[in-house]
Amino acid sequence: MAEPSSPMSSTAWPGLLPPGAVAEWKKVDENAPAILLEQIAKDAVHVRRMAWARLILAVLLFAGSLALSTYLIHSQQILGGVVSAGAGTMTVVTILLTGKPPVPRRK
Amino acid sequence: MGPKALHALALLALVVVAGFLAFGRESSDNRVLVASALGTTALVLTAPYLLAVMTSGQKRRLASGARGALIQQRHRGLSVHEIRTLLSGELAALPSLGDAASASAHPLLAREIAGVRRATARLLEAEPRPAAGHSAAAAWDSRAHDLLAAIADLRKRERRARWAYRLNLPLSREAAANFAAVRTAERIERLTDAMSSYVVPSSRGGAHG
Repeated sequence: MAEPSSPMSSTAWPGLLPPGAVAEWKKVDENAPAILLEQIAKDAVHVRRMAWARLILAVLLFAGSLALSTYLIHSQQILGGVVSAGAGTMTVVTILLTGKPPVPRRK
Repeated sequence: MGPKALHALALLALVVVAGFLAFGRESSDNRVLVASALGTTALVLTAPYLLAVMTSGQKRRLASGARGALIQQRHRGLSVHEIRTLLSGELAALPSLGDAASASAHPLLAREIAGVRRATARLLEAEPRPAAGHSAAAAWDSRAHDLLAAIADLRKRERRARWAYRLNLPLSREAAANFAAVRTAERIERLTDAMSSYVVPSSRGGAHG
């Protein structure tokens, strides 16, 4: 099914699709599996790019909140500093714990 | 893990915010006392979750204790029969797509798991013939040892991939593609379900020609 020259030949994608779906679509349109493969690859690239962006955003947010809290504590605003650090930590933890790709459900 | 962790975090935040609302304007003498009280409360509230996280890995490792110990040892002294038993146990324990517990780890390493599963099944089906002499059994033996090492390596990588997935870190290229394929499969299944309510089953003769 997967041509050796395709960008996703190293993945398990035909095995993860419902059995017979690719063969059925090939009957309807010869190009359907290739188009499907291309869309899956695009989707994967997008998801990966978003994940990297999320990670960079989390790191920047955490560093910014720590810097802000350091500044606030230096200027004797203890409450503001603690709230800043806590809010930054909670935001980063929320970013890291939510929005992951859903677990596939199988009957 | 997700809902529990969010619950614990929300409790923690609630305690901290309530503490600051109640005691934030106090004099600085009480500050250490209040901080330690808040910390203790937060720790007590989140202790069940933390304990569960800390002991879950241990429990899993204990459950597969004998098998894991055998895998991590050297297998050179085992007989062919013992290796066969070990291999079939490993084959049964390998994650599959139908296994709900390993469903989250499956897309991460789908190709590797499928490859090792296929190789193990092939090796278990091919009987080492005693008439073929010593060399065939030795070859089978070394292949079985390689396969056991591959399975142990797979288990280690699966654990790491599961942690990367839990912490929402960027997945590898293959894992992202597998997740995308799984998403597409679910979309296809929904489409098939929807279409099956429109297509009349008796029109099958028309598709024949």
